[in-house]
Amino acid sequence: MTDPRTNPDRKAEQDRQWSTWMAQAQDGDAVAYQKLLGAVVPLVRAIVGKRINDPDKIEDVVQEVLLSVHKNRHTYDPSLAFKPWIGTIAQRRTIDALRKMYRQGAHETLVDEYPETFLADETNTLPEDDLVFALGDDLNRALDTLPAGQRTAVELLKLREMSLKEASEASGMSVAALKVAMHRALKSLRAQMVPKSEQ
Amino acid sequence: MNNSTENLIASLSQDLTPVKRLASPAKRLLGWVAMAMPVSLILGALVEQQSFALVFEERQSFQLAVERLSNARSLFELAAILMTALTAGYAALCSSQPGRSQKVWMLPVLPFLTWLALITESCWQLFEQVGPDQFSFAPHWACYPSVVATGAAPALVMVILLKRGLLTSPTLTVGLAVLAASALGAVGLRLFHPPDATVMLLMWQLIATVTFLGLSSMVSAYMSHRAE
Repeated sequence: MTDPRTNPDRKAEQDRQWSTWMAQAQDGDAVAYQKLLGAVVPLVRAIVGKRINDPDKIEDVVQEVLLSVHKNRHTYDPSLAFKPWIGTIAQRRTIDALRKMYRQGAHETLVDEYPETFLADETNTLPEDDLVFALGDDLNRALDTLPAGQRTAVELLKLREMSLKEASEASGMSVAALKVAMHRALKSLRAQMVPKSEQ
Repeated sequence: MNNSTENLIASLSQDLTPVKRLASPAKRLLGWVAMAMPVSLILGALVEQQSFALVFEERQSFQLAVERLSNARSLFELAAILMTALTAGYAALCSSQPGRSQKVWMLPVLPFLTWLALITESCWQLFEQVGPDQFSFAPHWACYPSVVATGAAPALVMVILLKRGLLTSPTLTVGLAVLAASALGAVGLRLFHPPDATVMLLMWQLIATVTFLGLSSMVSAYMSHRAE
């Protein structure tokens, strides 16, 4: 099979295919949309990877780009090529992510050991010794136990830090439904993640 | 593909709703001119009418507009201002749609330079007439109501149109939008405002437009936040 990245005809054909899928997605075709998003991920990852080296961070930014594509899918004009459209969005979101990283970097310092704050033992104990929620696996397990709607609410509102409006647009759930799902999810997670010392 | 990315794609595709496509920049430009220009001209004429009634009772703003439309130099200047508004507006709307060429920012360069050259010539003529002692760049506060009246509608409608798009180059888009809205407002100003358009008047127009764009964006952001 010819690599579309090196063959101009295949490149043009791929662009036409993506453009068609996007036009169908704008009309509400979920299957075409899922195909399109799955197909563009490698391109988006390549664009993001040109400026960001950390693989975890790259995946975060790729997801930001997908959310931005979803939110702004009405701005695509099917009479134009598709790649410049998604390329512009990917580049913009990458720059936004880099700015955020630089801002955080200016205020945060990585340390090997936590500085001692007070003399009491409890204040100088590493969180993972005491709290179940410091273990990523436990958090993932707890999240997996949540119903799909509640898990989506936590993922969009807390992990991806979206506003209620953005999360509503991305998930198709109403703002009220998201609020209820978030409230129930937090209640459920709180119940599962009490510190070991309290159990 | 990463699991969470796959989940996100599945979640975004689920219950996908149809969307209304953004109209082409040319159509949006026509909408902008059709909505903003009549309001700008009517408000500009009304404000100037009030000023005329207070100061020069025998003259009307409408008569001034007719005089300026029958003067070749004024017509040329109006054409340059209108072309600046249209080209800058088109470029601003193009830059708010990802995937369109970013080189469109060059479109308003020629008409804007022509407009500036004509203003410079007017200033020079005024300088020669009144001399260095009388010539001043100080703000004319009496002009401000006209600047606000003619500039408000173009700026507000432009903000509404830009918010439907996606600002991938915010500085470029806002710069072009300010120029476009100022120029469209300046058409009414040039027709109905008695003093010739000077550099100071253009400065006022730009400042007023930046203020309108800023206020409109703040109000819009506040309304979106409230809607959540």
